[in-house]
Amino acid sequence: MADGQERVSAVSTDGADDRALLRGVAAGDKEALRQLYDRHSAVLFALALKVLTDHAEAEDVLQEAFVQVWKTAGSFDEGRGKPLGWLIMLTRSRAIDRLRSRKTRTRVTESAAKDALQTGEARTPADEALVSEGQRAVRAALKSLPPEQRVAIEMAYFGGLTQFEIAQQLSQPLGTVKTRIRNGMIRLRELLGGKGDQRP
Amino acid sequence: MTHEAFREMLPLYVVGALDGDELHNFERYIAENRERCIAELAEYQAVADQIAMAAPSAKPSPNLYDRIAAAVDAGKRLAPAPAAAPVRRPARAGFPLGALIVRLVPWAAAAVLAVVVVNLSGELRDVTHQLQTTTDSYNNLLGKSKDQQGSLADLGSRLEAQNRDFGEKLERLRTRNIEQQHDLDAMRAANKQLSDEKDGLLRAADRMREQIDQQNLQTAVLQKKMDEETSSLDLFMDPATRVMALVDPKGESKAVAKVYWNGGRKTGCMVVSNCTPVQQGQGKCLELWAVCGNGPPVAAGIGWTDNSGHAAFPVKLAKDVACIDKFLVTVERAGGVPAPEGTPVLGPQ
Repeated sequence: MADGQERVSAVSTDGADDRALLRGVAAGDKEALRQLYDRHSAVLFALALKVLTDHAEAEDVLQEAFVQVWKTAGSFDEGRGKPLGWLIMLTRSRAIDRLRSRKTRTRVTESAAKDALQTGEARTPADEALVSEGQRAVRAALKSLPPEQRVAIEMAYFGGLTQFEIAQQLSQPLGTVKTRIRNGMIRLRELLGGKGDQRP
Repeated sequence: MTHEAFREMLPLYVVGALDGDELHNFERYIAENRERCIAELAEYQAVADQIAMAAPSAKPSPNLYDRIAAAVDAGKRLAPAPAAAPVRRPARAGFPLGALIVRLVPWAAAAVLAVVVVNLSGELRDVTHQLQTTTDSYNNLLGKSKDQQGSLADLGSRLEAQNRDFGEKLERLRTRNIEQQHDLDAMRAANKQLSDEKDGLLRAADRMREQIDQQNLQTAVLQKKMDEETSSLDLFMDPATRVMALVDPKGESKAVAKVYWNGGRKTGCMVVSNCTPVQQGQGKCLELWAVCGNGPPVAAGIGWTDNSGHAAFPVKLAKDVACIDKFLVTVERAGGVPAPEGTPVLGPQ
């Protein structure tokens, strides 16, 4: 397995290579699956861990996601986006489903929302070394949002909460939550929309 | 749903924030308008996917891929694929079958056992994963169902409370409405009374105004009379005023008159008594003439008597005269004439 640096740097790799790998996976090439894993497992695992906050569960999700890739790579529609976007969707969906299925679901409370503000900030020099330029750009863009917009977006994306649930937990009107998410995403599109090759 | 609404909801959709009817309507709109929506959806989806990059960096266990590879292999073996090659490897030529069996049975048994164990382990893991997934889905649905039941119960109790509150407010509003209706009736009655009083006052004011107008008219008449009397009094009191008495020149009647003439003021008046009545509206009038020396008579005013033959009217010379030696009075056509046409009925004594 490639080390973390190799995997993270692969995030910015052009989607054309990923498409070739996915075609290989669809044809039953396990080496292609291995390369796909080496390229993206770090980002996908970080995503699953962010959602579930449990290392073992995050690994289970990643395993399920790649088994799913192995089984359904042939159904990937190349016209609808890049492979990494598809991988992110598979991983996030499974992580959110698992989060929602917990009997005692961890509520994303105010303290969790405050924790969400830490997203995108490398915690250690070692961690910083693993961060790609694309990741830095995304984190900087998120950090530049007003805190209330950033919290609402992260509660939805990482916490798997609906707008109604976010409004309840933040004790804010539903319309306010909608506006925060909408304005935050519009701003993110302005900041990140033009970063062609770094987009998943 | 309009495309504008689609654009409003799109940022919420890509981060998974939409729910309920909004989510249903949004996805139905996309399905029905795929060509129109696909580019915008892909653009925002790409932005949402980048949010994943903001998660703090983390590494999975080094052996995770081995687990994935094992799960993949287990999945392959579950499919109707050929059995594992090692147990089906054909025997090599030149070895007697019995000896081969004797030599290979322990190893073959061990290999088959190993393969079976691996297969069973993989299948068990896969089945466990599937079972876990199914259990998770069931728990998820159960959790959602409980949440919805709780929400419905909460909604029901809130509706009931709102209904009670609404009923109480409605009753208070009814009571207040009745009170206000009473107040309104009282105000209407008071307003009608005030309106009647106002009409009475207006009518009284009209009457007073008419009285004042009449009084003003009478005052004007009296003022005119008073001015005339004051003027006459001034005339009579002025020492320069001459008084000339006139009588019937023929001596046939008791008609007399006095002419008061002030040459300095060029004003005067004549008072007639016992004259044969010459009343206004009968086509005739008395006309006064002033005579200077042998000059022609100059018109000096006209007037009428009452039915008892009394008259008083001012002297008004038609033109300036050098002197006035005497006055004459004739009966002329109504309105007067420039020169006497009738015989004098009054003249100097």
